[in-house]
Amino acid sequence: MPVTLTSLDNQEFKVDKEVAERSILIKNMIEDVGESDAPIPLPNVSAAVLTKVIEYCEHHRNDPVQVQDETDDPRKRSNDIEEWDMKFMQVDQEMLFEIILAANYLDIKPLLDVGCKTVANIIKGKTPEEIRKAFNIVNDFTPEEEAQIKKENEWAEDR
Amino acid sequence: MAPENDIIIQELLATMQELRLAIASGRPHAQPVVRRQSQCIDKALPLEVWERIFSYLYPSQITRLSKVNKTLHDIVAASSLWSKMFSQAFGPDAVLCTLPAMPESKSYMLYMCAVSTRVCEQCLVHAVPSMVRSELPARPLPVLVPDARLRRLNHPGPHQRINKRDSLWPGGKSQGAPRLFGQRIIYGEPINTRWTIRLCLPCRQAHYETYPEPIPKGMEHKRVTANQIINMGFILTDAEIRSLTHDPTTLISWTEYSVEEAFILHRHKVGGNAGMALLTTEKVLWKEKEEQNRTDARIEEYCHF
Repeated sequence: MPVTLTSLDNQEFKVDKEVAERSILIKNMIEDVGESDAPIPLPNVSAAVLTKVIEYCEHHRNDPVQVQDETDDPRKRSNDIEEWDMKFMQVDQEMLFEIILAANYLDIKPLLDVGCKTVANIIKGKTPEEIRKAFNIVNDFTPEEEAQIKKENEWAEDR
Repeated sequence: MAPENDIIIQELLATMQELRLAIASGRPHAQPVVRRQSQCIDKALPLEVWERIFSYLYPSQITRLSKVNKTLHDIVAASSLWSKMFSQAFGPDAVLCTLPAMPESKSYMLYMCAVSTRVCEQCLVHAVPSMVRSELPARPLPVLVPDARLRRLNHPGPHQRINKRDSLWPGGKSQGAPRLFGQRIIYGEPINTRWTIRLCLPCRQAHYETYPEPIPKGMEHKRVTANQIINMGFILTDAEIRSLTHDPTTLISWTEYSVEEAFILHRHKVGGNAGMALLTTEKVLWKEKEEQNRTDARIEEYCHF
């Protein structure tokens, strides 16, 4: 049975129940409410973002539930992004953050992980100045503050 | 007035300006462009998401992030990862005297940064400083991390000889060469193959199993006696030397062993080129003492913040 989702801007999306239930939030909602035709309001997600999120859930509709190996070092896993996911994440930065926020709100852990890995991979190996460029961030430290922080926060690197 | 209000007012003014222009240009139903406040990553994501991003990064990378701007500095300083790291490095019973006038998490961050030359970024073990020469390689040393996306493209197998000029290593030809990202080929983008993380001896050994360092050319067929191997400064036991490739028919004192194998074994035991450099540099103990003093000074400084 299809489920209707309503975005922040009141657009309706009809999706299969198993696709919608990739989101733990929606899954719990459906379980709480029981079978119903009433649309599920998602007041934190815009139509543009919801379209992307549904695209992800459609593609991953048959994925088995992830069992996270806690002993595994996540820093080594940050490069294991599937080809499809990597392309899916090639969006502008605002969309990237919106997808991450939506995944966080809708509780879609695999999507949240892919988003966080993508951000981590951008940060990796970059100097503060390169990170500023990558994310279009303005340096708002005064020269004194910058000198102080450079002294305190240095993870000593001899290169 | 709060800076957010400033931004809202500016955006309103901009919208009004556009409306005015639209009216002036005589377009009857000109739609004003709806501007969204441009979201920067530092303001967009909540701490819980940042913590998840941090789990994919090494401490040195996280501290570099904290130097980007004030918001990111506060996010990094508010993370619980530093106190977890402290417990892993110094044991669950260790207590840190936190500093007044700042969040507790920030004290942990400052302390972990102060002792960073003694902490392995991978396993977070804290290496007790030592002045014994043979124990020096146990100290966490900076290791070059090749770009994993590149590695997938043309990574040499274990112990395969690679020509330095064509390699992925610093100064190699691949800097700026077309690279594959997903299925796209990206041209003209500089590649950062130069980033280091600090790893202890066992972590370096494991690291170089996956990312072997190139073997210098010119030692493939060279053979020398056990004495010469010792004189070369290689830290190998008699048994290890005897396990190297040699001609078993010669007398023990005349036996010649493979230099290349001795080199590989020695390099493995001291944890790669970084460990070898630490042992072969002249005045190494003096330099090490200097390094230790620097860290001691930083710890001292922490106590006086």
